[in-house]
Amino acid sequence: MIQLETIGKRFGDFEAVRSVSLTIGEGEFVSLLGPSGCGKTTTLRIVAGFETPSSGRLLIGGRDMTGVPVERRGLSMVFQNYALFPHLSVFENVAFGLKLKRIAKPEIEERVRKALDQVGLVGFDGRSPRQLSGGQQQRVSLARALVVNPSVLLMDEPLSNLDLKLREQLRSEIRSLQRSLGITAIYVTHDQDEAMAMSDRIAVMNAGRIEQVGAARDIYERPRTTFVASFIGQCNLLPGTLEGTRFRTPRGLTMDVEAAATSSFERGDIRLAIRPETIHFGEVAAGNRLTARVADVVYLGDIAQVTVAPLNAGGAEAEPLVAAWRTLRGQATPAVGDRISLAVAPADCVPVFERAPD
Amino acid sequence: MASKAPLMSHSCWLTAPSIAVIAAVLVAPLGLMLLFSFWEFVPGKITNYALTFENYRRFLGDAFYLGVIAKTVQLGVTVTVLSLVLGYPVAFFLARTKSRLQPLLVYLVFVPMMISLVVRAYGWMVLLGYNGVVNAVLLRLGVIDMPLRMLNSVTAVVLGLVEVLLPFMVVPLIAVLKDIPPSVEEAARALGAAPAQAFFKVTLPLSVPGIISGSLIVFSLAITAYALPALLGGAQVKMISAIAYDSMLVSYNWPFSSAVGMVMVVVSSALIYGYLRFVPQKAQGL
Repeated sequence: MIQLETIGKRFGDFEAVRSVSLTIGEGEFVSLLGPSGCGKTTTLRIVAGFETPSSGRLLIGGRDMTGVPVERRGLSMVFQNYALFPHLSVFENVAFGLKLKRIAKPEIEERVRKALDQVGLVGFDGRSPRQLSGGQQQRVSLARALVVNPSVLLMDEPLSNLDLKLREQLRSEIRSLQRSLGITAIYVTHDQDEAMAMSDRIAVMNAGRIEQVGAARDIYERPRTTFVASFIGQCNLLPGTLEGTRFRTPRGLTMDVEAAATSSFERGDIRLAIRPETIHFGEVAAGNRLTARVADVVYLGDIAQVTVAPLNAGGAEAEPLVAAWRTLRGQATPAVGDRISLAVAPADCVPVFERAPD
Repeated sequence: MASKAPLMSHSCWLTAPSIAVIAAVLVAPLGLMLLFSFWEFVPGKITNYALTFENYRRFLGDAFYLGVIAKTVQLGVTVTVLSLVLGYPVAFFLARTKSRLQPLLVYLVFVPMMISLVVRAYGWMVLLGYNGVVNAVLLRLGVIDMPLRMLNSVTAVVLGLVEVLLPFMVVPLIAVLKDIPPSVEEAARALGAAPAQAFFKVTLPLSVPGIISGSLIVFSLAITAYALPALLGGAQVKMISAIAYDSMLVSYNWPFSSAVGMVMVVVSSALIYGYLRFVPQKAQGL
């Protein structure tokens, strides 16, 4: 188990990490997701021991890690640039950690072979890292990290330098290896798909803070802040105010919100998050019913992105919304200028904080 | 490095001017020197067109000259090792520091090279002389009763050469160390290596090309140095270059002097050949 307790890190005047608290369970796969400069890599490097936190405390397995150097934390790390030892062969790279532990030669040979087998690199022992492709190099680096049986595996954007196909293949391989070995893993990425596909939980970070922690589905369906709602997937973010369960925009659009969602929104600037795919085209018996004018249509293959101007009670055009029209062969998409009926269920109208609460 | 383009593409003519200059001022004199070294020496004459191996036999067959060669090589090794030991930490710091002053600090490494070698030699004389600064301080502190004789010794020459040649060691080392990503060292740490282990198992082996380049440059400059050993070593320290100088300008024995020069050319060429041959191309650094 890893516990980060109100961890902060300053570099001079710059606050890279602000009061980050996070508990990661045994065998859990947690991603730190955010744009560059959000503090995710610094947080990972604090867990690794490459950076010392300016405030707060880090515990691994219940033990306070203050003053414990990297090499005694029982963890392994995989880097974005692979960080293989170029002067050593693939075998020697993977054996590096075992040799430091003065493990007997026959056992080293056996474990290295097993690790190379796990990452699908049988027969590459004698090669130099320079002779390998990027994907193969990252596999070696993964084998090198796993062969020492770490209690924690840290990964810093390990797939960012690879092309899309390979990335998708490797992420499921990494995930299944992590699961079968039962290793606790922290994974830093700026790629939302990667985080969603691999993680038990995602911590979305912005400007040094964790804005929300949760399973992929929670984060997508119940974002807490405008940042989380817009960083993961596409999202309409209507400005306005909440009175009871009714949301009203400055231009007079009103939306009913599920009562349960409103409890924590007594104060502060809020917005209403509506995912494009939750907007239904056509007449519906219940929910928020809208009449709208089609302002723009962008065909994207599986969907068409339809920008609409909904009409308020007085018949004037209110804040625009983007809806996703599921395209079907032979069926015409709405055309610009069309007047159409739309509906959004109150459950799909999610009030979010403008900024992360302190 | 090895381009796949045909050897004689049109663009190769762009190198013609520099090849012409090199041929005129380097290759031609070297050829002349080679020729001179096989000529017979007749006192009072600079040129006597009879071919002989006598000059080489005399230089390489005489215990005195062999002793000079051995002493020169020994001095070169000492200077190289000291430059490496002193220069490596400096290069490591300069390659890794995140200070905004880093470019200025690298510049400071070069600054001494802008001062004439002779001026710096006189600087050492002021420091190390019989009535010099070091002796004065030691006398005043009561560490010694009599001034030490430090000038005109091998130690003085070594000190001076290390000071002059240090930048030639530091610069290639910085280049190589900067190319080693910090994450490689961090990967070693995460796998259980203490900082010193990570350095000796990863950083040091990866910086070998820089160590070799720096050492080659320092060694070849040290064994061929003339002015500094002459000024700081006096008559006590006779190096190969002094032998060549003396036979050229004191005894006017140009053929012998040329033979001495050719031996030095062969030794340094062998070193550079060894470097290109045995250090993997990709790791050569410079």
